[in-house]
Formats: sequence, structure tokens, C-alpha cells
Amino acid sequence: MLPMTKLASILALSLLAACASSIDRSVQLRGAKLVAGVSTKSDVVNMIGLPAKIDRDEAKKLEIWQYTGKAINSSSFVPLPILNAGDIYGVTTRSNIENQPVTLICVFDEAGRLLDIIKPTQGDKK
Amino acid sequence: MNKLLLLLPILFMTGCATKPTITPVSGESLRSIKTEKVAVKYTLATKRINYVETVYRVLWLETNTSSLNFSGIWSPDQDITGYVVSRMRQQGIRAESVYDVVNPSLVDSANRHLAQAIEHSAGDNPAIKGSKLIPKPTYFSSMPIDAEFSALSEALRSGGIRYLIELTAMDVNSDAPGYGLVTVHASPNVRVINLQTNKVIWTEQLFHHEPYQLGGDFKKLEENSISKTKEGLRAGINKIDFLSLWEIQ
Repeated sequence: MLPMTKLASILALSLLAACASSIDRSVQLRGAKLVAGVSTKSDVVNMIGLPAKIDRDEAKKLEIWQYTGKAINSSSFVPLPILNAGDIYGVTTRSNIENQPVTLICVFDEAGRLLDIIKPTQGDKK
Repeated sequence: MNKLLLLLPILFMTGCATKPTITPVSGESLRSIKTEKVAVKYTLATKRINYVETVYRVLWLETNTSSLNFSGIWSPDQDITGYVVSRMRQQGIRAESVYDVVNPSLVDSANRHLAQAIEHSAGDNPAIKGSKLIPKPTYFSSMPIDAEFSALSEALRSGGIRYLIELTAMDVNSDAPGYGLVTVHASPNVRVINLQTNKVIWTEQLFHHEPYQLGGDFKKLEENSISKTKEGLRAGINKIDFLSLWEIQ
């Protein structure tokens, strides 16, 4: 029988071994240092990644990138048979993509320069 | 009883030995593809990359899906067409990119129409909500009759091209099944169109893929203007043996 401290250590190590999702971009969305007028599309992709949706305003020559930072679908599977597995730019603050709320909107001009950054779920501009 | 026991393993073996069927050439030899100049076109209908990842959560496994849009930083059709042309030339096929034979605006117009048409004819992808599956090869077995394609085929004929090799994929896909592996793959339908007879003479769905060890991180496919995704598509296409496919070795 293993002592309680050893069991606790093994459990802690197992939890540390758990992997992170690279589809979930919540951390990148919170930590991205975007600067309107300076950052480019390439900077945004390198910091956060690709957007879930792109709208184009042909008249104003704008491109509007929308991020949710979340998976479209998520499901769990227990591999053991012992448990049961249990209105800005036409984008409103309640916009969602495949039922996920949009958490970041980046607006680019024709030259690919970042013009505006909007965080709809916080209801403000940054 | 003994006969039944013998039949069972034979039935199982038959299941394993079943070869994928290739649509036969309908009365036309594909040999001339190797000797005369052919035009090549690759179209990605959606300009999206779909992700499926399996994440280890100690007591359970989690599967997440996502679909992201790369049209803001990459117009893929001309580049991927170039990858196919390069691969075919390696195999001795006198391939030319349609973008080098006709006015690129004609190609873009035909591609836009093709993308709209197949999106309407495609079924939902049950694995990734909101995405679609490419229509079955039978969809591609008839000659397109829209005005945009007619303009393109007329321009190609005027450019001395008899065969158009058209590859059409719905989107790019990437899986992270575990152990740090990340694959980049696509499943284009390939069809060979004889522009003189206006007939599709060969069609089949292909699959090209390239695995990478990226620590299971999809974001690495996106960095530097999605350079790793482009590299993966090129590497996957470089594995296609077109000569064997058309039995013109």
C-alpha cells in the first residue's frame, strides 16, 4: 500500500501531464498586445491565430476579423468502462459563430493595417 | 461446420483486400497526357482550415473541433495549383498552371462559381459543425455547363490546351490525434476534362497529407502567414503518384 503523500504526488504529476488545447485561444486573446495603426494582419495571426469568421465591407474597403477563441464543438470520452462520461462594423456585442460568442474583432484597412480592436463581451473598445 | 469455419476467415480476408475503385477511362487513353501540354487548376472552395484535436485530460480524453478562416492572409488557389504543376513536372508530365495560360481573372471567376455550386451540393460534415463534405465523385463526372467555366475552357482551347486537370477540395484539414502529432491534409476531387470533346474522362477523390511533430499545437500551422500549412500541402501533393493513378508509367 502506497503512503498517502506518495499517492498525492502521483496524482499531482498526472494532472500536470494533462495537455492543453491549442484550439482554445482564450489566453492569447487576453494577452495579445495589439496596437491600432501599428499592428498588421501577420502580427495578429502570430499573436492570436486565424479568425473564425471574416466579413468584408467592399464599399469601405475594410476587412473585419472575428474571434471566439473557443472550440465549435467539444466532447469527452472516458477510455475505461468503469465510469459514465458524463453594433459596430455590423457585428453586435451579442454576435456569435456556431453558438460561440465573438470575443475579439479586428478591423483591417486595405493595406492590411490594424485599424480598430473591439472586445464585444467586455462591451468596450481597447 | 468445417466449411463454415473455412468460409469465415475468407470473408474477413476479402474485406481487407478490397481495393479502392478507380473510375475507368471511358474509351479514351490518358497516355497523351504525358506527351502533350495539359493545364492544371486546384480550387479550395472555402479558404478555411478545420481542426480536430484529441486532448489528454488524465481521466478522460477530450475531442475539440474548430474551423478558421485564412482568406485574409492567403489566396491559396494559384499557389496550390503551382504545387501540383511542380509535382506533375517531376513526373514528366508537361503541366502548365491555368494562371499561366489564360487571364487569371477568368480562372478566379470560374473558381468562385465552382465553389458556390459545390457548397450547395455538398452534405454537412458531421465531424465539424458548420463545415461541408465535398460532393461524391459522381457529382464531378459531368462537364460543367456554366458560363464562367465555358469562358475558361474556350480560353484554354485557344491556348492550345486539350486536357484540363482540375482538383477541387472543400477546405484544408488538420488533426492532432495525440503524441504531439499534427497532420495537414485535404481531399480533392480530381477530374480530367477533355476540352475538345467537352467530356470528363476520369474522376476520383484523392487524399494528400503530411504529418508534423508540433507538440499538438495548431497555432504553429498559422504563424508566419500559415507557412507550415502551405509546406504541409506542398509536401502532401509531392507524394501523389499521378502516373500510377492514370496507369501511364
